[in-house]
Amino acid sequence: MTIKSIILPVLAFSALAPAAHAADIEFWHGNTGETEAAILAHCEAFNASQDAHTITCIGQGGYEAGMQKAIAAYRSNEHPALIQFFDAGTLDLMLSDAVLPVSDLLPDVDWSDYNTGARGYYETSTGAMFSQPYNGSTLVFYANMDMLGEVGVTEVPQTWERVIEVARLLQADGHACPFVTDGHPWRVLEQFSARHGTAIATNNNGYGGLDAEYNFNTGPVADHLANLAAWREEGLVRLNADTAAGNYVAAFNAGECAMMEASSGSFGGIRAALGDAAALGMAPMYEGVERRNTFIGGASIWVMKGHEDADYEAATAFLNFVRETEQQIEMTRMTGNLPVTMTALNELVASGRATEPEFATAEMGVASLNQPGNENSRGIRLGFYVQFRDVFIEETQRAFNGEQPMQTALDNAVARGNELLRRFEQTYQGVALP
Amino acid sequence: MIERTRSIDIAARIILIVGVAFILAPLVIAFLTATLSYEQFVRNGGITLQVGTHFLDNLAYIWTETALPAQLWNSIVISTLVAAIKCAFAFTATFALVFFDNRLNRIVFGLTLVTVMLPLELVVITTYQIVANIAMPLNWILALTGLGEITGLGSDLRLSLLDTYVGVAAPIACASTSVFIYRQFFLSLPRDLPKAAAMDGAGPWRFMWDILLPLSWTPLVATFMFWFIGGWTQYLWPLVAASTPDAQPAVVGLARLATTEQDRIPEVPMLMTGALFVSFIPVLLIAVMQRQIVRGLNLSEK
Amino acid sequence: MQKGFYSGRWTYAALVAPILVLIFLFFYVPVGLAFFWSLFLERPFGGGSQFVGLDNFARVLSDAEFWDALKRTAIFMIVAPSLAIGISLMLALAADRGLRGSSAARNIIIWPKAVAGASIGVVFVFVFNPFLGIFAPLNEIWPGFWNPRIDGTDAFITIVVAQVWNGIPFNFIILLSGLQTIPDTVTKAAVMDGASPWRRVWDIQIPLLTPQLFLTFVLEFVGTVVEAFGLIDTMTEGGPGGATTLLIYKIYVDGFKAYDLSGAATQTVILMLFVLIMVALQFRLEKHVKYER
Repeated sequence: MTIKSIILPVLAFSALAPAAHAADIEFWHGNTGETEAAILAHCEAFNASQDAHTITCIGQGGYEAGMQKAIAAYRSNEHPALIQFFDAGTLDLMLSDAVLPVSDLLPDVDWSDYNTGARGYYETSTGAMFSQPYNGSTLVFYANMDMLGEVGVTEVPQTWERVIEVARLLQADGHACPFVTDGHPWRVLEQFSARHGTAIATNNNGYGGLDAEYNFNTGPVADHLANLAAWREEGLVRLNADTAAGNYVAAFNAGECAMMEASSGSFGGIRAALGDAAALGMAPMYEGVERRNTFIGGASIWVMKGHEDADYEAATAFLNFVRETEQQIEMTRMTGNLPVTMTALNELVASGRATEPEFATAEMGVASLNQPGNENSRGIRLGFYVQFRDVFIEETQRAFNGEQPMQTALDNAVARGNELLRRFEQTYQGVALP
Repeated sequence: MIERTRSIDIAARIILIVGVAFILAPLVIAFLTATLSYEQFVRNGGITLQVGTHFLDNLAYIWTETALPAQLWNSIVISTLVAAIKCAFAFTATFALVFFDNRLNRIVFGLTLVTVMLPLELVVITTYQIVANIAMPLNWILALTGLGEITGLGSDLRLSLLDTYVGVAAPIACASTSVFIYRQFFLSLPRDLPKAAAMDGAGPWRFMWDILLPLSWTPLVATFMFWFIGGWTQYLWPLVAASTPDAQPAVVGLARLATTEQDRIPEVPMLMTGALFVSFIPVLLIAVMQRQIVRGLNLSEK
Repeated sequence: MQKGFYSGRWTYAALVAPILVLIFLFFYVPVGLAFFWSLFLERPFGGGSQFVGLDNFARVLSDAEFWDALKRTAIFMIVAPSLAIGISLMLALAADRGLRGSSAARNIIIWPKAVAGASIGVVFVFVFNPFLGIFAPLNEIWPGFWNPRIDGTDAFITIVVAQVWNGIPFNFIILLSGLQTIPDTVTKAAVMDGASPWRRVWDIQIPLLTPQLFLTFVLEFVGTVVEAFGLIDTMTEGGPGGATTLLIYKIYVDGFKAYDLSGAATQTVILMLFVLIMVALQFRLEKHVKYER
């Protein structure tokens, strides 16, 4: 055995790697299930539609995994030209110096055609778009009308007060799980604060600068989480762990739970499971609060630096392709994600297909995104936000477990979150918020 | 012997029965569940002792609809590489450590020992950087010494081993537990062995090939099996180092299967079938080769 | 270390070079890089990293979450190996009696070695499912009796059980082989002295097993820290409320999900030192261990 035995296989394997030619690019995405199927359909359709470029779409199994792999790949110059990232990583990417704003690469696109929620989230203070919104979703409310019908409720609840009223009726009728949630911050913190027009951090959720601080431990968010904890004690609200299915959407789909807040992107699966019994509404408000827009969820496509011009040509072609109305509508049909441009939505409505059941989320979702906004409902510009979500989940779980009061959980989450923000600020010393 | 062993034999029998039951329980539950269809499973609403008839259907689904069969092949290649590297490299090195009088012995042994203490999982983040470009240390040398400019190589060489079999296998093979095991085995051999060989005119290489290797066959085969299985059961590193399902080993594929499609009650029968599917080769191996493995790991052979 | 017979330097170099190159490239360079990063504040995508001295250590060491994770790791490192080795020892002593059927039992006990933590994790999630698993009937009698998705202690127990299940075979093999090499003459002499089989377990078998017990403890101790990852990732993802976030999982989450490369590298360094200190303490015992009989 000599050193040859290491080197030979190395050479053999690197020889096996496919040789890249100029117009052959990769697109990394993080979805699974129906959305992955829709993305792969896009890639296939793109490759079939023209001969100049080939795109290879590679699933990474999750947004977080995809982002981590992109980081390591970027550091070793192995990164793809296009990559799909999720909302929570927005600021990390904006400051990374690893991406090219899409509006620089595609200056001729009418970016104002993207709906308010989508633009606000991915736009810089100077109006440049950093990424192209792709599989956009937002938070909506789902109710199982068969179950609600059993207690004489025929309308989808619009307010939290009404949700709990209905939940009490259901509980009295012997239902074990009136309302279900996973307590994920996207649902109970971000979308809640956005549509109630309140901030989760100072500087308008960080849009005003990197020295923002979390402040959701007082005010409407804190009240809402305290309510959730109290309602769970009462048995009106259930968490993932309280359900047999183990997951809130699964529990809803299986008919175990009657109501939930979930992504519009879940609609495909919900309709398949429950058919016409599944009814849809905008996420509930507390009475007396003016409704603001919800945030766009899902993910957008980012262009990474460090590629050849030919690669960017291919990337441009693909971005233009998936922006086409027809492709957006196909994505909506397959998954329940929302059309992200107003043109696509208008054409969908004009074609009369918007009333078809598989498009039910489109109008509702976009309407939710297009509510009048305020300075707190533009989006989240907070560093290491992905990590903060885990902190929030951990602390609130401890509160739901009864290990600590909800207020302590929120105070802890704020304190730990602020440490993250300070470290982010230090990491990006001297970098200005675009 | 005419001693009374009844009480200890009864105790031993009870211990063995309980132990075997504990080991088998999850496997039996997995198998029983794997024989059910999704609908039967949802209807049963839990663990039952019912044996269904859908095992082959579930298996067919795994075979045709998932990436697991291709990933099974990845596992075979990666595990073989891991085992071969671990055994061969450790064998020659341990031979040197035990039978050579060199003042570096302690250092070399210490260096290999540390790899046992600090598992790959601990340093997975930085290992990824190296495997993404194994020329990195060479680049440092080229840059620091200025050799890069002199030779015209520069200091920005790139060779990524991500998504290759070697890239996944090599870091796993670093844990030099074999050295520890072979050393104990070699130390238990008669000390005069090389001297006797020398009298017959055999030098160190001849001694290694003709005497030590045949003598060590039992521990070598045993450790090869063990590292093969060890490579097979790796999880965190392949999860990171293989970024596409095509390059991932079966265990990673199974875990990914378990985390997808969260919007319905999980396909537990299919998952259980998958768990059995990714485990049957190493389990079969260990069941059949058990005698050799146990004999081989026998630390002080008489 | 005993004195070797041969002395050729080049032969020596050729023999040890392969393993040294391998571990240099794929072990020492990454370890070194971790130390390096622990002194810098790295940007996730590279570029603009700045030297911060021991700031990262100060940050990590003042983080209550870090200490909680370290505490959990320490508990896990004590509980799981002790159980795994204790149970293995009992099983090995029982199997060594050569009762009828014990060879089949011996075979089966080794099977878990061939099952990946992540694979058996998928199975154990189902087995311990509060609504579908083995404790579901008890939950119907006492609601809330068992729910590892909510109760941190329950979750910790599931990880320990799975780890012990996975850890038995290796220890069992080593201990059993140790038992089988105890010379018959020793046993016979003890029988002559009138030592009962129960007595012999304590006075002969276990003392003579010291080398094997030492080996299993060293390997199991380190293995536990690592193998727990596959179980945690497939079973609990560190939850609920962080109750199963051992340090190894926290490092993974910080480094791979939270892009905190410096923090993860710093914790890596601390955990490496922690493990090395523990192992060094164990190796002090090596003086009491005999390899030759």
